[in-house]
Amino acid sequence: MAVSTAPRPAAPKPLPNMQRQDTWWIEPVLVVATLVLFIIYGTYRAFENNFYDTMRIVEAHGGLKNGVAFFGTYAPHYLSPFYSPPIQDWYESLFHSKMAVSPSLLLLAFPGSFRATCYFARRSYYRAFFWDPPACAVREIAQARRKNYTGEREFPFVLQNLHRYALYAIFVVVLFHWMHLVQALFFSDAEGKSHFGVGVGTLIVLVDTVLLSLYVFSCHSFRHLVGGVLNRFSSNKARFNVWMNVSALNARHGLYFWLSLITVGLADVYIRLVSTGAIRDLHIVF
Amino acid sequence: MEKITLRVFRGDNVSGGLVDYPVETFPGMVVLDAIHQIQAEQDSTLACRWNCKAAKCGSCSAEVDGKPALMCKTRVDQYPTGTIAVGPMRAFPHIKDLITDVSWNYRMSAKIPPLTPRPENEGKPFKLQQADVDRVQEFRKCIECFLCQDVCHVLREHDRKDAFFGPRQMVRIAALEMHPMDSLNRREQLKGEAGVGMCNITKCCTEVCPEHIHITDNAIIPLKERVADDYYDPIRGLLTKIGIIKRDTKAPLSSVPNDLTKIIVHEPRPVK
Repeated sequence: MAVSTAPRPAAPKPLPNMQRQDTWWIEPVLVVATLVLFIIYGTYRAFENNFYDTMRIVEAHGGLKNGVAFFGTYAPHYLSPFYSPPIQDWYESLFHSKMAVSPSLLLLAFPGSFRATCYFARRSYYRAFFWDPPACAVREIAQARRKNYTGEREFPFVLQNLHRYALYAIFVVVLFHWMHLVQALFFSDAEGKSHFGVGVGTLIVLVDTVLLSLYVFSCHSFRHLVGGVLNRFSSNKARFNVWMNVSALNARHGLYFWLSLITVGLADVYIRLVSTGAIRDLHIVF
Repeated sequence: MEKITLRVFRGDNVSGGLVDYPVETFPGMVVLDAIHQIQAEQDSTLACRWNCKAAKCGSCSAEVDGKPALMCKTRVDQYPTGTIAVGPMRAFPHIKDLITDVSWNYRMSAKIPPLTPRPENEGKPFKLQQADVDRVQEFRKCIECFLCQDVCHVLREHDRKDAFFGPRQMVRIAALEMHPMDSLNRREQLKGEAGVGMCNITKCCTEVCPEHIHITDNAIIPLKERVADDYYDPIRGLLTKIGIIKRDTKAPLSSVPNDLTKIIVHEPRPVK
């Protein structure tokens, strides 16, 4: 059998690795730092299972009369967003005992699943934690996975397609945030009577509630739900107008993601500090 | 006049490396100007694809300091170090110097059936309101520079050209899927061979798009949501079955006559 003596073509040479020269690594570092800090603090608060409701502190001390001196004349009605909705109260009124696990551990599933499957959050954590890719046009470390990559087609990432269900659940959380904001406008005196007022905590809860609402109502799935699914907008002007407004909000969805994450943490920190007596809530009661 | 160094990739798909060229700058100079200066004064064999020099033809796509960009839209004064590295797009087979073979993109494009009006609308002028076309007009801005395809890590790093058409084709499918007059249901193709599920929303395509098309937010994510409607939402499926949600009346792609999708695409010529 004749054997070809022609020289074998040389293997294509890989292109030189021209790395980006800018500071692309700042964003993933900030994302990791912020999210890790938030997860550690949130876990600690969930297991702490205390200092999340100012009225519980008053009740535990037998009312303002018996001396929760650090509240002053009026006790605020602040509930930490980590413990909202108040399922602990509901459970106690039904079964007259405390829940076996921290309610926060159960409640975090709602905002947790919404944020975990959020399209903007996916962009951030795929880059920062999975390095898939760490930044645009930056080489990935796990080159061995090249052909195994399946994106969001297989378990567990295929579950990202259920984002809309997490959206439906977060609507309930947003509703309770607004209810807690209304509660935060009332302050109890030593007799247990409620008085209308505004405190620093009220303003913090207001900012947290508004930003959470902006984050939820700028969601990509919500945008699809309200009108994005339509092909002929002129046939449904009402849905088109809603879609236009949600689209305007959607342009800043990422900003609302971060701001609402930070303010929900700050609201909890503030309520914990007030509940432990570390600081006194400044308020004007009418 | 200031002098900078342009570090340009020279070579073919077998061998090559970076070569330094001193270039004299002028106010408003872009990287393509510098390449032209090298061609005119130092080395006329430097190969680069270009046409309009106005960021409208999408020919001069390359990687400047490691980032996909149009050379005609990238000013040299953006790089204060005085040295700018210019190389070809990494996601496609390399031909020579700054030129790559982008024909794969056209082959994928050919797999997408074109706009298909309902038979009753065939040949008639479309009656559309501005609101109906505003959304898809954004997608028509695409100049097919393929920077989005180049930066997409699914194609670039994982080389999954077998499973994902890429952001450019997602934009094309979005323009058709959301078109009020199109009669085809493109979701089966999106979930299947087009592979919208391969995208993990890292938004790099949007970042590099010279036409500022919101590829991820306005094309890919809405397409993912439409696929979720049909394949990942059991409640919606149930509501559709019992008639609360209107059933989609678009025709499946399998119902398209064969000749509609039969588009001749020339295979790329072998590279010497």
